[in-house]
Amino acid sequence: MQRLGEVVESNTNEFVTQCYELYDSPALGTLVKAGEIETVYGIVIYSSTSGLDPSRRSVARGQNLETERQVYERNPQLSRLLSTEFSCITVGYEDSSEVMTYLPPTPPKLHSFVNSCDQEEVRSFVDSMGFMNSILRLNYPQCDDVVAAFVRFACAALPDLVELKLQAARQIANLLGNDTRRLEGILRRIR
Amino acid sequence: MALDLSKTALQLDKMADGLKDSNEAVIGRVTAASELLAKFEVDKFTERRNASLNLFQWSSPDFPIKPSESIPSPEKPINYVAIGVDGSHIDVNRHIPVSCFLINTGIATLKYGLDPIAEIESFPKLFSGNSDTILTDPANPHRYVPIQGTVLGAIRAVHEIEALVSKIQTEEISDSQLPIVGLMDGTLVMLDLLRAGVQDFVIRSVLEERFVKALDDIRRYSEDRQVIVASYISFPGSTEVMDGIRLLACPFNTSDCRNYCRNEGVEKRPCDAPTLGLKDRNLFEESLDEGFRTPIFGSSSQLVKTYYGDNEVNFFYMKVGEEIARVEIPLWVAEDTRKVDLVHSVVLDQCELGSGYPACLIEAHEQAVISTADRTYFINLVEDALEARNIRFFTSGKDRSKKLRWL
Repeated sequence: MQRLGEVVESNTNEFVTQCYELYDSPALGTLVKAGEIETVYGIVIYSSTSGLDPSRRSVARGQNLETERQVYERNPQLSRLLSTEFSCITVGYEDSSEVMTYLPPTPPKLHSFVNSCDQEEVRSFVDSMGFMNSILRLNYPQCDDVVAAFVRFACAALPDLVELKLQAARQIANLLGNDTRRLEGILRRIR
Repeated sequence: MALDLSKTALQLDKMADGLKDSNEAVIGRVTAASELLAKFEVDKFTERRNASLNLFQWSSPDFPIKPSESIPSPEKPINYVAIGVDGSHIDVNRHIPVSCFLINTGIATLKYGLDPIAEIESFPKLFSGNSDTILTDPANPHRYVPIQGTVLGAIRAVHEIEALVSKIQTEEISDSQLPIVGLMDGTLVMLDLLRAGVQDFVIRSVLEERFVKALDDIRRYSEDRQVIVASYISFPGSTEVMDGIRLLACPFNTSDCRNYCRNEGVEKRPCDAPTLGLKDRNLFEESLDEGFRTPIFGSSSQLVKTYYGDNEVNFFYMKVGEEIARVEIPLWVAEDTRKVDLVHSVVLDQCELGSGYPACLIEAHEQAVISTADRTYFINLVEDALEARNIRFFTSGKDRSKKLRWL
C-alpha cells in the first residue's frame, strides 16, 4: 500500500486528493481508497497540476534552457509552489470489513490519507462492475477513457483473471445497450 | 462617489504635459552629470569635500576612484544558496480595545546546483501587552516609546534580518558549504530611525543591539565560509550620487551653500544645472549595460558611519533588464572583491530567474504579504478571541461610521 496524498475536497459523489509529491498522481482509472477507519473507495477520473496560489499563474521559464529538467533545477521553488491533485468518483466503501460497491453514507473526511489498493480490494470491484454505470453516465468528456483505463488497471493488478477483459467488455456492452459506436470506442481502448 | 475622477483626470493630463516638456531638460542634465563624473578626480573631490565640511548643504557619499566605470558581471554562479527575506505588518489599531500588532516575516531559501531544493516559510508573530508593545529606556523606566509607525517598521526590519541569521544557522544550510547570499528587500539603512526626534535608547535597542548585532553575526559566519548579506532596491529613488555631483558642479572654491547661493532660487544655483530633479538611477540608466554595475560608493551619512561601524552601508547600482537597481552591502562585503563579485553575479542570476526581480525576494514577499482580506480577518479573530473571554469588543465611532456608511 502506497500513500498518495490527502483529501482536500470532498462530497457525496467525488473527492479531490492533493499529492504529496508534484506529478505523483496515480494513473487515470486507478482504484484508490481514502480514510483509515471509514474507508471510501474511488476511481481516478481527473488529474491536474497548477499553482497552489490561484492568483499566481505559471509562466514560461525555459526559453534559454536545453531541457525541461533544467527548468525545475533552475527554479527549485516550483516544487513548493505547484501542486498536483487528482479527483476520484466515489464507487464504494468499507463496512464491517466488507467492501460495498455503492455510495457510502458520508463522504471521506478532509485530510483523510489516500492510499493505493491491494489486489483483494481491486478484486471486490471487479466482481461487481455495476459502479461502471455511474462512470459512463458522468457528464465528463473523459468518462469512456476512465472506464477503459480502469479495465486496463484491473487487468494489470489481477493477472490471474485471464477472462477479465472479456467479462468487462460484456458488462460495458450491457450498460451501453445499443450505443455500439461508444462501445466500440471503449473496447478499442481496452485492447 | 468618493473621488471625482473627471476632475482628477484633467489634472493628470496637465501633469503628463508638464512631464513631456521636462524630458529634454532631463536628458541635458544627465549628459552634464555624466561629463562631470567622467572627469572625476578623487583627490580634488576629497579636498573639496573636506573644505566644505558642514558648509555644503547636501551630503555626498564616498566616491570610488573611477565612479563612471562600468563593471561587467563575473561568470554566473552554478552552486549557491539565495535566501530572500521580506516582512509585512499590521500596525496598532487605535480603534479597537486592545493594543497589539503583528509582524509576518517571509523567508525563501533557494538552493541551486547539484541538489536543488527550496524552502518557503512564513513566521507570523503577534505582539501585545506592555512588554511587547513599548520600548522602555533601561536607564529610566519612565521614558518609553510605543512601538508603532516608524519604530514598528524598524522592528520589522530587525525581525527580517534575525530570521535571515536563524536560517543561515540551520543545519542543512550550514552543512552544505555552498556560498550563501542573504537578500533583504529595501535598504539596510534605518534612515527613519536615524532622523531627528527618535530617542537615543530606541536607536540603541533597535539598531545597535539588534539590527547591527545581526549584521555582526552574519559577518562572523562569513569568516569560515562565503556568507554575504545585501539588500536590493528596485527602481531606487535615492539621490546620493547626484548630491556628490552637486559638489563637483559647484564653481566656488568652497561649497559654502549658505554663503554663495543663499539668495539663489531653485534652478538658479550652479549645482542645479546637472542635477535638479534627477535620481541616481537617471544617471546610470544610459551609462550601464545590461548586467553591469557601478563601482562601490560609500555611505553619505555620518550617522550610518557612527552606528553601523564595520557594517557601514556601501552601495552600487546595477542594470537589470531595463531597470537600474541599487544593491546595498556592509563595508566588510564591499572590501572583499570575491564577495562583491558573488553578490553581483547572484543578484543578476536571481533577477534573470525572477524576470527582473530577485526570485528569492519574490517568494519571500509572497510569504510575507498580508492581504486586505487577511487584515480584516485578523480583526475578526481579535474580536472572537476577546468575546470568547467575555471581554467586550468595542470600536470607535469613527470606525463604526466607516463600516456602516449609512444614508
